[in-house]
Amino acid sequence: MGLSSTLATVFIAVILIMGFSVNILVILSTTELLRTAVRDSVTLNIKSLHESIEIKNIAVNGSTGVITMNVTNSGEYSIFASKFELIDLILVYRNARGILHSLWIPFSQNGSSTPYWRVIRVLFRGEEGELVNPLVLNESNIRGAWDPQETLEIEISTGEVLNDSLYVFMWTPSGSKASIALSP
Amino acid sequence: MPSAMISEAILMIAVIVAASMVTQMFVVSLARIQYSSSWAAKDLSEKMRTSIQIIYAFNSSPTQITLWVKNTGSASFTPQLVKMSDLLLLGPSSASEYSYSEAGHGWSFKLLNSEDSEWDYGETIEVKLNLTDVLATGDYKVIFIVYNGVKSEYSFTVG
Repeated sequence: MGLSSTLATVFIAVILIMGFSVNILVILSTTELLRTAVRDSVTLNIKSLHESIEIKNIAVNGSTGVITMNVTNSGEYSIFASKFELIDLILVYRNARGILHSLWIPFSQNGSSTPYWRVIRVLFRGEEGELVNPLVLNESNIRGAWDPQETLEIEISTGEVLNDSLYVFMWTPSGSKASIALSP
Repeated sequence: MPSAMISEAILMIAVIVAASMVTQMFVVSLARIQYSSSWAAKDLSEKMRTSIQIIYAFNSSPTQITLWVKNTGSASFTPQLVKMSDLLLLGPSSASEYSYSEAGHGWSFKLLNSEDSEWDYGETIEVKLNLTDVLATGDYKVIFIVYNGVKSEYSFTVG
């Protein structure tokens, strides 16, 4: 074998090694990127599948525009108080003049301006008193969690006179939904 | 013997030149493959991390539709990215596409429960679609498509 053949073989070997190296590099970087994306996506999907709420015992005071209702965490995950702002509450109602309104209602524990929704108390198996992660909802110090099987008694204030007919929709931060309707 | 050495030398030079050319082409091709693979992977991972959900839509006036859209994915959106979204409205007898518009015909948005200017996980935006014509009674479907093609749709009735 002459020198040229040896040189050609060396070149081919170098090219092959470079090719494999680049391919491995690309595969590794791509795998890491996709692994993170899959992990994030699966985590959120699992959370969404196991997060569930149920609305019960709704009562409306039409003249003051205040609604009270009980919402139970029937899922497997706790929802921390710091995430209550990410809960969507939508109210569809007719006001005293019969005009249909759809309102997105923000969480505001101090209820400084209407509309708002806030937590009045927490019930565990029908009685006051939490066993785990007790909720503290002072204006300056929000902590604790809404744990599975706990029920929040919440107050919704619209700031206007309501008819007795309404719909309430509620979404958890991960997008699980509950709704309740009230008719006269 | 000297002629054999000269031939070997010429052959060696030819091999070096040819191999250099092949190597250069190979390296350039590999770089292109690496670049496109990285972009494809980045694009795919962005799509996997993106999830939105129209949680409610209704006609807030005869010429306006309001929808609330929740970010249910782990990807965050800057205001510029939100503005790159498209809104489709499929009506009983027509279909239209609308782009972002701060005033007049088109859609605009505001963040409802965000502490910064980004649309993050769990946060909701209010989108208002202003139309030129009055909405006829019937069934409608709105489709909100973000910049990378991930979409959510919602059906509602007017009248």
